[in-house]
Amino acid sequence: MSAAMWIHALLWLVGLLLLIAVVTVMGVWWERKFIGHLQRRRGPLHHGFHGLLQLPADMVKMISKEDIVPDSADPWLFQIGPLMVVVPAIAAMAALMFAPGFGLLDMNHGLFYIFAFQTLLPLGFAVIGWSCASKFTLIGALRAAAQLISYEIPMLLAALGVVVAAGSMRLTDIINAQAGVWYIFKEPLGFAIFGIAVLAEMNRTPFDLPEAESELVAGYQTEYSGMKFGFVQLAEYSVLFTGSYLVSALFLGGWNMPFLPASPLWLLLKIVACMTMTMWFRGTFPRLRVDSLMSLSWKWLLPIALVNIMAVAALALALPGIY
Amino acid sequence: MVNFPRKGVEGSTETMLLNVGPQHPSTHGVLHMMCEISGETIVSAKPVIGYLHRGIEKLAESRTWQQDIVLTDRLDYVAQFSNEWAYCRAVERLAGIEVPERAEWLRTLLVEMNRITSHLIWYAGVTMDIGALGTPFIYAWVARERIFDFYEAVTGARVMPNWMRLGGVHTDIDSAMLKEMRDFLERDFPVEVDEYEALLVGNEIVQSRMKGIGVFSAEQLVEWGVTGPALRASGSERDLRKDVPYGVYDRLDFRVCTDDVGDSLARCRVRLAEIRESARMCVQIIDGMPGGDVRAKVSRALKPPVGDVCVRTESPRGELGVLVASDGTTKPLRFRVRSPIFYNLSAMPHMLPNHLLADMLVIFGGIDTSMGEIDR
Amino acid sequence: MTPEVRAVLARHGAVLDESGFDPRADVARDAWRACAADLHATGARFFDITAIDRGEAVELVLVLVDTPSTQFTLRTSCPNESLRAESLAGVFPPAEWGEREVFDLFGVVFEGNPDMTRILQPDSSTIHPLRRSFELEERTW
Repeated sequence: MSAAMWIHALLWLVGLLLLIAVVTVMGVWWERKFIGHLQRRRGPLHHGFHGLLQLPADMVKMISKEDIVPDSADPWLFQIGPLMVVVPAIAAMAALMFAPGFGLLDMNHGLFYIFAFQTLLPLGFAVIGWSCASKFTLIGALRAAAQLISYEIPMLLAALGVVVAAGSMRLTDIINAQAGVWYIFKEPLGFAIFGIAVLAEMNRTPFDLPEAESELVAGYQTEYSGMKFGFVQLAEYSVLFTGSYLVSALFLGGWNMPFLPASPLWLLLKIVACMTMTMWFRGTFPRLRVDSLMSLSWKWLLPIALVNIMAVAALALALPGIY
Repeated sequence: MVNFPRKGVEGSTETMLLNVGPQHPSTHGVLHMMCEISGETIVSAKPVIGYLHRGIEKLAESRTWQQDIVLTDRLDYVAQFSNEWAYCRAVERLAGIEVPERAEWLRTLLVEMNRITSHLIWYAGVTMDIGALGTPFIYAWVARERIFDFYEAVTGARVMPNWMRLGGVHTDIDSAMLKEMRDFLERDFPVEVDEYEALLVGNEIVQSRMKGIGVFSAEQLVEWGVTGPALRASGSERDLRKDVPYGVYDRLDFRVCTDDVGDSLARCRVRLAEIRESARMCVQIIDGMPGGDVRAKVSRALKPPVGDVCVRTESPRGELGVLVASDGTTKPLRFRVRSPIFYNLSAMPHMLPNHLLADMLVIFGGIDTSMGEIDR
Repeated sequence: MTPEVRAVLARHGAVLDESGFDPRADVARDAWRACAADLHATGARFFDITAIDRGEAVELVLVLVDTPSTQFTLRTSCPNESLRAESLAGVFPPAEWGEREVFDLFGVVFEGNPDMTRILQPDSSTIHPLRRSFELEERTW
């Protein structure tokens, strides 16, 4: 590897970490503001312009908080747990492409790479939940593992429909294939399944059972404080960003826009719109119960996803020019 | 390594003891539920109470009859007027005090408004418990704040009014204020309630969470000692406002809100219907309000004759009973509060088994706990 | 008061007094549970169980609702020397908690109650505060 490549990689790494920090801070601010207005109140207001400085202040508070390790916790797993969540979440972001040729790694199998790292998340949640020696975290972790694994399958099948249509797993190819018609119009069923499954993958309402506040206090993250809690939050917002990116890139045309030149701006707008949708759900919906969550995935999403991928494959064979 | 205290049961699975509370986001105070769970299914449950025990019944014995009214506010702190009224009625009955006509109307008015605010708190709590992030909660606060403004204007306090007196009420309500209340309850309030109802009962996910959850028959509930809206949702017509009319309830046109399904959603519907019914009653009361005095002359050193009396009233949570015993002195011999939620909660061990952990909160919401009155 | 209730009370030798606000029936302690069970059979509904400290004895008060609009009390007396009575938890399920409270605050032991432990005070408490003999300390503020 040449020095230039190293510098390139290093710059991207710093850039991505900054992006994650900005996404987390702005995401939290936007979420509080947006839900505040949904609820006939105004959200953070006093620090900075419309409360913009509230979040940096919260971050400073979080960093300076005491790091409490429960007595009966497993000391090693308790320390490693947050890293096991935050590292895959950030690593998955390495394959995101923001414009043609503009991204850290334009891999042949970029989509596969992202899903591979996201699959590691349930393991981290299980470690977190087990290590705390608290029953609430244990139940939360088991819920998280069960939920993430069962929603992964319909999500991957729905994404496979796009891969079949685009004929590539490279994100750039998939997005460029949507220069004409977005896949949301070609595969509306796939979009619906993917959207629901991604929502569950991100642990967002109405699928926020792993951290169901009213039942499990805070689910798997109950015992964490200080920066370890911050890491878990960081991972959550990274997953939220990645999930919104995937919806935008696979189904909403990525950086393409009808009648307008392609630009990374469109992609960012779509990501923000997707994130706002999840916040809207959060302010509107209560949460599902465990058994209906599972039956939704296995009894409805999975069969429909299988039908969807067969239909897409058949159409791709029958109408090669259009699909 | 990690060790969970486990209790072996027959069969191949092991159960786990989960302590929900006393510090937990959704126990509405300091209730402690010991749940034995198998997976996420509750095998058995035992409520542990007393974390909020302030000894109100003992404190009442060292104060005079009048001074005890202030303690009744602290019982069920979201249905303050109901408690005050139950206590005042008991003492007035024991001492033979006549209450002026207008005072009875005013009391009924405030108690019915209190029923609205109490049910709004239930609404806020139950929506939080099923996972709605505070949106219905804060919506319910809008109407509640308006009514609390009325409380403040009438009694001088928002939460702890201490407004009723033996033989009447402390302050009169002038006609301008009554008109303002009437305008709000007749014009703005039903619109708000429509929205609340749509947010709760009209939501698909809420229906899937509540329909068919915790179905109990009226006979079962009566046997377990459950009263109030939770019982009426199972088809029982038991409502003390109709059965033993007190105040001016016999002169009002209202219906007892019931539902015959008996599940958690039915309990929500009954409470929402009661909110509307109470608003309608308030309007009737304001229209029919007679003039006159609001407070009878009662000696400060009141000495009711020796004896005891038990008075039953319908509080927002069920049948609130107050038993007072006098030994002929200025202080009560015994002041007993028969709390509806105390006995409703005692039915929890019968209600919860074989439900999921998430259903526990829904069933909790159905009986609407308020720890201040359970622990006293 | 329904005729059935009167018949049951007469059968158990209860002293009926209807001069007060609500009818009250005093039974001997031996007949306490049997009388309550027969009253339950007549359809009387449990309202409350509590106690009043009469100095030399604790009077147990069971408030029952016979028709939707009427109520009456069944009472028995436990002298200080033997503060015990038969439990009604098997007759009226909610009485289990009511009796635990009477035990906690008055010290009356109910034989046959499945869980005769303190309910409001912590288990470590040694007092029965609602007895007249328990004096509240002077306020120090």
